Amino acid sequence: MCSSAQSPEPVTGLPPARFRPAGDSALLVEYGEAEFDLRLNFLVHAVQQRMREAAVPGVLDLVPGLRSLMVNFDPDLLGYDRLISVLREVHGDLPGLAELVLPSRSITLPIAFDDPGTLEAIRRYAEAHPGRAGTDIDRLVEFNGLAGRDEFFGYVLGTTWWVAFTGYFPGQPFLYPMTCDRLLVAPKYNPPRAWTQEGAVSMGGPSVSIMPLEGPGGYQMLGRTLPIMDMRRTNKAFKADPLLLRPADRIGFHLVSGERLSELRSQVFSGEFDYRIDDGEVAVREFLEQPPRLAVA
Amino acid sequence: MTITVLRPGPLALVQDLGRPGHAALGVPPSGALDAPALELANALVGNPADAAGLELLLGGALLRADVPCVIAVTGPPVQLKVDKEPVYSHQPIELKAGQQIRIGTPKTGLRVYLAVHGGIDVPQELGSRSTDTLSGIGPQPLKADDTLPLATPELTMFAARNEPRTSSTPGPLIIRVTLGPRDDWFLDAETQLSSGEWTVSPQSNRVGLRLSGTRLERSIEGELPSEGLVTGAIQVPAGGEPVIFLNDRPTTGGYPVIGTVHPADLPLLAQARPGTTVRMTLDVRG
Repeated sequence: MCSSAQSPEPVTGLPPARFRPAGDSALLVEYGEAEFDLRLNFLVHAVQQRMREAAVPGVLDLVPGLRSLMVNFDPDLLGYDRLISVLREVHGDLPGLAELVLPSRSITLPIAFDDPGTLEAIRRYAEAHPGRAGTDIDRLVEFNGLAGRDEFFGYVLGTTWWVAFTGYFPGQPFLYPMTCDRLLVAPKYNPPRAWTQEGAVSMGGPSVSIMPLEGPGGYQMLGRTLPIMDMRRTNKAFKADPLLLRPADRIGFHLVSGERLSELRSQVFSGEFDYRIDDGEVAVREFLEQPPRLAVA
Repeated sequence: MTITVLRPGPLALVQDLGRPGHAALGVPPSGALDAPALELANALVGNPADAAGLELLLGGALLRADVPCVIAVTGPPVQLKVDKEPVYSHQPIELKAGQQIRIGTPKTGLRVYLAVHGGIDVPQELGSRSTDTLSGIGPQPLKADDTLPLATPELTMFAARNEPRTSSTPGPLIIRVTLGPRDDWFLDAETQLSSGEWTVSPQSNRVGLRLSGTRLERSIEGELPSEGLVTGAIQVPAGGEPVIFLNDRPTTGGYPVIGTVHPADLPLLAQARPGTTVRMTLDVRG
């Protein structure tokens, strides 16, 4: 038996697609070769959007990855060959990367760097792993050769962050910089951390993530923001959907103190806080000249 | 209309057939790990297949009917008592108000299912009543003195007795797998999978079955950008010992998936105790 993956096939004006079966009811469509740039993720979202619009009977779910789309389907209603031919049609109908325009919400969230919960998680880890000193931000300043903490804060606050995909936890976003002069990266915790607070903003490789609930983690912790998941739906931002963030959202962070963040979080839970969410769109053309080219994360 | 949990046993969860279709938002499918066992329990009490019941890890629960009701217990063979009286699993059992059902510990297998006529009527979250142990969506694991609301039954037909499925025969468990989606990241994936041997690690749970044993060797090193996962994905983390993802799995992951377990074999994995020997055989897709 040869490999399950078919050879990559050219898509006119687009990076090549490769079809990778995942059992009898899922197909992973991978775009581009090993090198990654954010435009491949734009393409993933464009294909996802068109597949949704096509409403192909038997397609159950479309899950974006960084440069892949997992299509879950009902094998009683849809076969591989038919699904692949639908995908080829969608690829053929795409206008080319430069013409892609993606619907994208813009969401502004407060961030408190090195808030008490972050420092507590760092303290707990240091207790179990002696020899680790300083905060994670200090480590990233040194790792990236920055002049100081302010330069790092400026990077986080001055960047528009793109939700490329979600998961590990429900609604957990993985954010990539859409605009930056220089890409900063973070090594991962080794071994991973047993506890990270809900709302933690953390960084691994070039990606920033937000914890929808508390749990283990391997990313360097920057601070904390507001809740992004609320199964009790106490705030109206969660009425329609208990998860705040979706793939293809854009996130901006603004600086608040730890005390101010606590106040804002209380307002979320009492229902007084209004999340700032604006509809909008992203024209891929704007990212063609100077795309933030990322090392494979 | 309720039943009351007097003792939950090691882990008692409300489960139905889960919440598929929310993976795009990062929500795990969840649902009964041994779905055919829950479906059989539901059929025995005249419920639709997707009614919510209980998934009882290693049995061990004690429940009280607060109203007259009909229940059925399925999964591996297990001893049951209504008050002091032994009764059979895999058949409808009538309980009078106030009667207690005591579920023993199965000698083989892991997960016992209990359905009650009408179904357990806790609120749905994202279209399902299942507890997702990864994210905490759905009801909390049950504890003593929890009362579970029952829905009003639509039908009053009960099936006859069924035999327990032989889901937990001794000896190695041989599961069918297909290659991919990332078998090309491994040296001769077919041979590595079909000649390897593993045991189920005690670190296994509803998120995934961790296997100890043959380390799978990669041909492509380097990190994989996160991509979608399916239930049954055989993911190979850095150490080379595979993890088979079950229903409470994350929706994306950053380690390569060498192969995918045939869906019909997932209930066998749901019942595989730690220490069970696992081998794999290549299945041709389609």
